[in-house]
Amino acid sequence: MRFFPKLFASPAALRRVGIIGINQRNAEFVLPENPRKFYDRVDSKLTTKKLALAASIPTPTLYGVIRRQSARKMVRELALEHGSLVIKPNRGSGGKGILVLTGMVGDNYRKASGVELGEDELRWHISNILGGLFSLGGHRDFALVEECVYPDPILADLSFQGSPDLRIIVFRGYPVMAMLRVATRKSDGRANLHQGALGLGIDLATGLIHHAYASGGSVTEHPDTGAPLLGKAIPHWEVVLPLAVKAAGTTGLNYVGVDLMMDAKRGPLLLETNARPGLTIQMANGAGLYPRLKKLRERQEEYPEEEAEERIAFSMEQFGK
Amino acid sequence: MKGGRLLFAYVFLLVLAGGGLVAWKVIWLGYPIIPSETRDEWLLEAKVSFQPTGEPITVSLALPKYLEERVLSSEAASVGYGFLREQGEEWRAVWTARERPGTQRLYFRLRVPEKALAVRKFSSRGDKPAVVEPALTGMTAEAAKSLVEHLVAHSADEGSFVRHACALLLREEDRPETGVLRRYYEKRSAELWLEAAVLDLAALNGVSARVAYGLRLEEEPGVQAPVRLIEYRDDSEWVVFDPSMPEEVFPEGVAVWSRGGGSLLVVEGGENSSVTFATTRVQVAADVAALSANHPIFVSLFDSLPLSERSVFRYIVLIPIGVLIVVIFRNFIGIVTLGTFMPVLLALAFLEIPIILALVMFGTMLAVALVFRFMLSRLHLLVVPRVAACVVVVSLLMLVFSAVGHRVGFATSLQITLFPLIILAWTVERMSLLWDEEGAWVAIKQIMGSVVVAWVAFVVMRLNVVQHILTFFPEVLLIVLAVIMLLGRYAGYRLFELMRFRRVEEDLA
Repeated sequence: MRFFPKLFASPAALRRVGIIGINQRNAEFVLPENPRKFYDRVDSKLTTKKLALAASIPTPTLYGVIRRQSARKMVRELALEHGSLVIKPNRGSGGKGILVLTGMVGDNYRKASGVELGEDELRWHISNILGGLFSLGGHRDFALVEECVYPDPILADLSFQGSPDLRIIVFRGYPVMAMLRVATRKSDGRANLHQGALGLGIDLATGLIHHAYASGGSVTEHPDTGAPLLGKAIPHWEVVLPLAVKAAGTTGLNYVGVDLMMDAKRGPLLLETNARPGLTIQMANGAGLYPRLKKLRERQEEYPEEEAEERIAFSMEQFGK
Repeated sequence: MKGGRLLFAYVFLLVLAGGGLVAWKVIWLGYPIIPSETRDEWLLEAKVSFQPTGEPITVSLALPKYLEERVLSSEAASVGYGFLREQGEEWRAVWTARERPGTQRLYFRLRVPEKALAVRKFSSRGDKPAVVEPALTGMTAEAAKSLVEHLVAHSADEGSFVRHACALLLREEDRPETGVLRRYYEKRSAELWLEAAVLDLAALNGVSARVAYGLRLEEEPGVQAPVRLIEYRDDSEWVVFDPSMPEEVFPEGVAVWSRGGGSLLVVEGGENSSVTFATTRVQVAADVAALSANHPIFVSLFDSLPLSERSVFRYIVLIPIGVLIVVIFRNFIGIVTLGTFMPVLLALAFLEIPIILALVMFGTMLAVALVFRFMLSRLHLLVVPRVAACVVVVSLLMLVFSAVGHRVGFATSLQITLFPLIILAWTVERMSLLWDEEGAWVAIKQIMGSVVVAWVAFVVMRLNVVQHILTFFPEVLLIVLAVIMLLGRYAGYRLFELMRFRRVEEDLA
């Protein structure tokens, strides 16, 4: 019996289940495994995309790049041509500054939420991106105009608005852990976990959701829609892990978070890669990263020449339920 | 672990070097580790008052040049005046203004160690100044000549001549000539007759003598008129004495203020001018006093610096302590701050400005800047001009703060220098950028974290012991460096992570 709400976890208990903290992630994995010189490959979405194309990894189609204020005409033409598009800062982080336009209403644009957006507001948004408002460190940036991804209906049904995305951590070419992030009413359509989104842990062997976490603790159904979450299968799971491993391979980094989106028609598309993937994936899966990373480190040192299929098979076998 | 042994080797060397230097300084050179002893200092204040006549005003006040090297701090309070310090042969404070209404009061304050005030003799370069014979006539000339003859016969050197002259003039009954001289000089100036007479007698005998001014060192607060003193030229030095007590050793508790023959106060464009003094005794830790400046430069880095650099030095040695605290708070507790260095800068600003005032200023500036930012965001300005506009508003706000502070009377007790203001303004800029980029919650969290860490750093940096040790044992910074390097290897959980992960533990239990 406890009379006071528990404030702190005991460090010994966390260590026992292998939860890693930021210090350990940085000291043991990010700093020694990820050479600084390759950071541009993950920080610049355009570079990520070019590398992906060269390795024939599917990504949302790039319509254009906005480098100057005067490119509004281009946006208009692209919007008329494709119907919908996404404008995002090249170096944005955490989904900031992403503008989804789903069509045109007269001279105005329509945002994903249904709200109309005038020419003037579009111009301001672009100037914010170019001015570096959303980029790391506030440096000058440019904007990408991309195909709008329509999420697979199975996943879209799990989310309260917004598009769910998949995060897979890949270590030295081995998949380590995966989760699906879905938006809630509280997270305002964003799939960002500390803004209230849900993290759904995925069983690597089967692609089934086996655990669900909200900022308050473990859950079994969506807080807004009431949809049951556990046991749902991620579509196209058989291609997700190979794609993630291949994408991680293009970065030159050894400890990478790979973000994918599941397009209704095209299947999994690479969104971006991350050199400092967050730690919430552990909560989403109800499991610590450390035992897996340790096992993979030993495996990789023992069999340094293993092929991608073998690495994936190893992870699925070791970390599946 | 790779690099581990190397790290420990570095840490060992750093601790050995730092600790060794400290031990050497403490054991062999006798540096005090704890600032226990105190030293007396005096706060001397000269107040000039006068009635302006309507013409442009120039006020020139003689200052104690001999204290130049020893002054701990000085300030001139003078609202509405231009101020400059002449630092030539003489040392003078000069105030200027075009036109001022009503009675004017100007202040000059000095803080000096007590020891520095005990100087009575002043070495003099150059030859004795030429003596101008006074133009005396008739009976006065006769009386003066006769008195000088008597004095020469009864004195051994310049000193005894001048002192004896004072004594004779004060005791009129001893010789008839003194009465004649006294009446003559009293007619010229009722107040200054004694000094005028002594200087003339000295001149007749070819002795250089001049008027000097002093003040009594009184612990009780109160206003005093300047003490008139006389200095005469010895073989090699100028010696100051009190003409009202010529036979005595220079009285304790009187300090020389100005000497060198210049007038104490010159006021142009004013009348009824006067100078008064006030003194206060302050006790401080005997940091500097205990040390000899003859040590090699790396031993007493601090002493080798000129006064103006010392306050900068004090801040520089405190910065690493602040950084150490930031490391602890960020990597062990998990508090987020605006950058690594910012909380330290904020803490330095707190050291300069009283902390409550600093927080109020900081809060007000943040609030106004943010309100202004929201107004600007409606105008759809580009990013850089928007930030620049915020900086302009913050600058205006700082102007208002300084002006109000001056009016309310902070100006004398509190000098808000440029440095903390820049830090505050810069923080406001970063904060408003962050507000744009990451949203209100992240910005507030980071600013709160920064203020908390800055406050803790401020509390530690303000500690007398910390300041003392770092000022006199800068090599302690090597140990701080070693500690930070060791902390850099910490790969355990942060306190806030234990909170974040508490549910996981329950889940898995």
